[in-house]
Amino acid sequence: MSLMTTSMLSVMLAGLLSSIAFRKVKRLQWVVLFAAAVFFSYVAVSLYGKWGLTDSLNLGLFTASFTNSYIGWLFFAFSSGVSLIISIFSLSFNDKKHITGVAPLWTVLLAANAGIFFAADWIAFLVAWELMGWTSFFIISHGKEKSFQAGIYYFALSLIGTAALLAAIFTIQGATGTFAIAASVKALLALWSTKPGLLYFIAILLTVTFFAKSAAGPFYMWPAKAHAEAPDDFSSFLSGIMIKYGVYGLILAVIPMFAEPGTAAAAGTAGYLGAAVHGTPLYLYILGWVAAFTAVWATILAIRENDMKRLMAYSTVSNIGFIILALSVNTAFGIAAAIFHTFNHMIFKGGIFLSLASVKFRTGEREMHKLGGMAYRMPIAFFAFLLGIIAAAGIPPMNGFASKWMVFQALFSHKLLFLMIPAFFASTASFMYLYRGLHSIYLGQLSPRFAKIKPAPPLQSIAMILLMVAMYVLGGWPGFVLQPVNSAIANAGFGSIQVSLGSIVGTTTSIHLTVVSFVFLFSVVGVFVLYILGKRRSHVEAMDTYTAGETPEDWGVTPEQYHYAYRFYEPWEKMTDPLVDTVSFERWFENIRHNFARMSRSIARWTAMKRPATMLAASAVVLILILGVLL
Amino acid sequence: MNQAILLLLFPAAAALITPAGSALSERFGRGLALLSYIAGIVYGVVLYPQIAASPASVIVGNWKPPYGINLFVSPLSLGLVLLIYCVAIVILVSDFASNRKRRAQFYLLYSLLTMASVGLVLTADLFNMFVFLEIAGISTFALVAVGREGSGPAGSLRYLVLAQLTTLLMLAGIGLVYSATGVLNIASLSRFAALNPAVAFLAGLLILLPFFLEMKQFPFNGWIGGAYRGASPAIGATMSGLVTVSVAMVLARLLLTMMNTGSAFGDATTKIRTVVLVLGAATVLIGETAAFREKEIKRVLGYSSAGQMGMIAIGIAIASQSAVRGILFLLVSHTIAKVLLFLVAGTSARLSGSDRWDEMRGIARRFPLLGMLFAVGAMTLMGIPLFSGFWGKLDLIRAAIASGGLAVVGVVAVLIATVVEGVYFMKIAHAFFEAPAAAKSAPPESTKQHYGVAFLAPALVLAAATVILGVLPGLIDPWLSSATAELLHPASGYAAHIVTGGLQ
Amino acid sequence: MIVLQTIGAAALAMAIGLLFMGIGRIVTARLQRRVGPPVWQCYIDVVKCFSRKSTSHHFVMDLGSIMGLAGLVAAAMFMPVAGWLPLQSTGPLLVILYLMPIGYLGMAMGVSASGNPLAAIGIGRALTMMVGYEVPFAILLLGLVATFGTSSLVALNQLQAGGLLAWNAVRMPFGFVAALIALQAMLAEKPFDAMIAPAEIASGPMVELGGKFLGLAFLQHSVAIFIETGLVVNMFLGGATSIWIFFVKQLVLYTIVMAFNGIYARYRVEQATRFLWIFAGSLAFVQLVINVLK
Repeated sequence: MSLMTTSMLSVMLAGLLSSIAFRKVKRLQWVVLFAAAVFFSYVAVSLYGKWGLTDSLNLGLFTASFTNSYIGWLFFAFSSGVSLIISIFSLSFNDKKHITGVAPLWTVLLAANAGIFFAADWIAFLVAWELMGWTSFFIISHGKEKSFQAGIYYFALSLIGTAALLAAIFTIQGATGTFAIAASVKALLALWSTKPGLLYFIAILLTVTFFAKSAAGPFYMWPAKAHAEAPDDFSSFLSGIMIKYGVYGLILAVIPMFAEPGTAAAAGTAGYLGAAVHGTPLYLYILGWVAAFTAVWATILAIRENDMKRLMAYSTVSNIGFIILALSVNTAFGIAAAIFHTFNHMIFKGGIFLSLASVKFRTGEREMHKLGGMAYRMPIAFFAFLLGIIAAAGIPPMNGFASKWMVFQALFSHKLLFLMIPAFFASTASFMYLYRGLHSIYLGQLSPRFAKIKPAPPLQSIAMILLMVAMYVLGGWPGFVLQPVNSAIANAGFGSIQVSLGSIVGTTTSIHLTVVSFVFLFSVVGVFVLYILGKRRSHVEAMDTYTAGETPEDWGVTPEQYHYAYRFYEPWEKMTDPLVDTVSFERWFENIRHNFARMSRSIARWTAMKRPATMLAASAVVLILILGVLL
Repeated sequence: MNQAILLLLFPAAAALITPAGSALSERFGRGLALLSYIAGIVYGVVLYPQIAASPASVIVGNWKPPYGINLFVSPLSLGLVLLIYCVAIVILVSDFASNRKRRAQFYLLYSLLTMASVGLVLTADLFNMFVFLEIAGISTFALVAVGREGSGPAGSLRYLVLAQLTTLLMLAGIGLVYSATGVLNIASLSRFAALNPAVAFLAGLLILLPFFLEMKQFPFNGWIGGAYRGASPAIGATMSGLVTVSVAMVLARLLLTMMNTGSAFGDATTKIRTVVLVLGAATVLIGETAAFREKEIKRVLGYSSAGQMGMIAIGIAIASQSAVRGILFLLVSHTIAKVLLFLVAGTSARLSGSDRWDEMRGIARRFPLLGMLFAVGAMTLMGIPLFSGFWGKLDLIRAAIASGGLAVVGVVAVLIATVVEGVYFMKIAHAFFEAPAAAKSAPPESTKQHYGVAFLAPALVLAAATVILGVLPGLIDPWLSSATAELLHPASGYAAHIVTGGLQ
Repeated sequence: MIVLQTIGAAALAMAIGLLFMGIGRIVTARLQRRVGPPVWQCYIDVVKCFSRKSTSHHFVMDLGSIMGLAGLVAAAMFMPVAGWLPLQSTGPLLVILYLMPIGYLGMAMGVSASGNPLAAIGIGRALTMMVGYEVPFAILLLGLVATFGTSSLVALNQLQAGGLLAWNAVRMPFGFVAALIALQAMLAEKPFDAMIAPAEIASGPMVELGGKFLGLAFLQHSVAIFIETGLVVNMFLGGATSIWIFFVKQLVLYTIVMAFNGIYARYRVEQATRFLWIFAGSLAFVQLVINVLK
């Protein structure tokens, strides 16, 4: 047994044991989580370069096999690194006042995380997937009624995804005769000439599974509910890492099914032989539109939000839309862009959520309009949030720009211009809600309630600083991530792109990101010099503002009232109200659930009635007999 | 060897001696019942290696089959008999914890029910099966009626009416078969000359009817609500855990071994199997849907049983290697999980004073173990990995997709049911774990309620069993293989052993 | 050497921008039948601002103001002026498009930290309007890239060489009109100036700025003028071979913008956004379709 399986099993065991052994001293459970994250990071480092290493676990009825694949390792390494940073944060976050009991479940979830990325056959993948599903459900709905509503929504959608996955796995096995993931996908590629209908059916099933997990398409609504109610440090894990499992699944199984003839991924088979739009397979083109819709819709909804975690959750959904859009282009550039944006998103969204968790930790408040001025008391959290939103907006010099640029270049390469319009819209409009978060929570007026709060504790600050550094470094030197990604996708058969440590060659032009980063720095220095040249400035109180000669306190205005934050974008809300009322998948799901409950009640009532039950039984017998004899 | 009939005799003896002994001591009944089951287990375990090597046919009354009655002791039947005994012990031990005053008659009836279940599993004769079924039905009816005043008798009465109706029709079917073939032995019928297809279909379906009822198949499941409401948790566990083992196995025996293309039922087999498949799919959907909004926890578990039995019926109807393995695994895991859930439900009802799960909120905060046990049982039924139900469901779905055709309808039903049962089980689990909304619902410390070892020990054993099976499913693999072979290939195993079984 | 070039480029952008602002004030004055201030008034204003004392509510305000100007200056580094760039680059359009918002974000952050709700309201409106004009502008961009297959401004310049008829303004008239409308909104001139109008919300974002902060804001606006008019010149008016012709073209554009500013009244924010999406957006879309079909 190699490091892959031993690490997974030991971490799972540690998680289960810690729930029993440390149930009195819950803080130790969080230490176990931290240790597990450290262990997995070590595993990631030691597995680097050992490509194709396989391992198997004999469970009697069947053998689970694992492999250290190129892309799987990438996802594993990144998720382990980011989990480590989050677990450092959690050590400090879970003090006596805020502690939750979810650490053991989270530890098991880390093991499932590894399982998903290392799985080499569908059954192992399914086991890890389901394990991830129920542990995360219990973490999200950690015992509170409101959390439960969110959790069960997530769980139901997750179950739908699992049902689709089950159907897909066995259909694949029936068509190709194997459970091994890589081999079955290759075998499916050979079937395009004979059974395209079956392949589309499998693709749709897998798409349903992975879209449900990644909240794309009609499933966009669960992150807002789940993130808002989950424990605050878990929200960053949920948004940063868990939601990406669907993306991984798409790269693993759906995208390779559409490999173009002649590419390395289609070697040995005929490859995709169906319709294509500008060189993109039709199915993936449609997926791209669904992803674009997701990006736009989530952005519109995010701008309307008042709760900061829900807002950031919708932002995550929007970014997922971007990622899947890039994937759907089906070129090396697109896949590299998608993977790069996935990792960038892990980092900057992780930073944003950790910053929000810090604020919640100190203030206990989650609604944006009740906060304000946090930057004045918690500078590190402020900077983490600021850099995070700069990255999220895709502005240089942070890392979001490079990956967003690559997404657009990928779309250009296949001349998918009409798809770029929603992408641009989503990208631009993201400034709106990102800025709102910054202003409402960190700037503006500081409420006297929070005038004496302390800055973020040291461990939390360390975690946030690490992420900030990552954002900046990857922004100027994307090659640190992009070069391994490039070699991984090349080895996986998707082709490769031209990239160096600091520059990327795109379709319409190339950019040198280090240069951009330095130019910006230089400009800052220059302007600072200019600033110094001006006359000295003096400090005034926050409430001492321009109010045409009067003082707000004279009217009885308090800093909370003076802080403009509630319904920040009222014009936008008015503009988009009719749209949001008509297009609501949430209402659709709610209708399904409602009708189902009604059906359930009537069936239960029917089966409870005496005479109809007996009569029905008797008549059914007669009917069956007659039919059976006749037919 | 004739000694194998001891397996039947232990509970029968317990049933007969109990009334007499109870005159002497109140606790006599329960002690004797337990003793008889333990004896049965010991004997069965001792017998198992011998049987695993070569299955044995026990002739009763020195009349050779196909004219006499015989019991067939094989790894499959012996394994299930052991399971039945274990479940019976578990249920009885947990019933001690419920603090109900049980009279001697209760233990008499219970032993009768156990004997009938064991008999159903072992017997190889149709009429014998009918007799055991009647005994099981009447004891169930009486045990359910022993429940709460009012709803107990009402629910059981409906069950009785439907049960009698269907067993009457079964008798008619048996009569038809007898008049057409002259034999009643299952093994003989499995290798008989084919009858007229219409007669075969009619007779076959009639014979299967009471088993549809017992397995809660639509449209014969109108009795579930009333019976489960009226029954005490122990009896609920019995109906869902004990009786279902025997009934499911008999259905498998009849549909797979007795009715196959080389048998007396010939081509009618496919038609009958289609009927079972359709009914099974409908049951899955209806059972799980009915459970969705149900607020009384015992009824939820009852409807959930209906759904699970529907899945087993689908698997039996598909009749392939994977399918049969799957349903056997499902049967074992369902039994363990359902009994566990009924134990938890009973204890929760007792501790919270209500039968409705929405009035049991927060009980897992006071008794975390209770909540976790419920979660374990629920996740087993949902088919979640790390718990035993996963493997059974996996095999079943694989078999259904591979078999194609109408079985795909079954798959869709099973998948929808998985989503639905996931949702309602998690709703209940969450209600258990919910943090109390306000201090007002904090339990007064003066009422020191607790559950005792009588509940805890069996529950932990069951939970451990399901987890172990879930993580190491290979443990029962040899049993599964031989059981599947026996069911699906009667010519080589079953029939061969019986028809050539000699006088002893 | 490069350092000097970059400083020179930054200084040039600011100088030209301030000059244009001055000319714009004269245009507006003449439209209103006034004489107007001298053309170098804005230089005097900037010097005056920097020589006055100022107040700040928090260090974030300082940081924001610095970041605001720095972002735009960085963007100016990448814009070719008559084919000349201070650094070696291809004049990547997307980089410029994404560096500009740092300017706005920085200023937004700075004025938010001032604590005045009017500033926040102004920023909210400004961002809403930004979505309004960015969409048509982005569609225009796509149209250009679709036709020419490159997003480098230097390349776009070269592809428009060959006289008036080779200009994109002539080849893509719908696009040019849409660009003019978008330019009006980008420069925050009437009818799209609801966020900064003094009569609206006491100048919105600039309400708390004084002294050197106001000076930095002035400079920011001047660089913005330079960049934005320069972008449209490069994209639609064929760039230029000589730097003076480049400035003349920029001036023409700016004069048109100020002319409209002097005549029109103000839109509300949602009206403005809707107008931009419907009119400028559809023009740009039509242009895109034409380009794709060609």
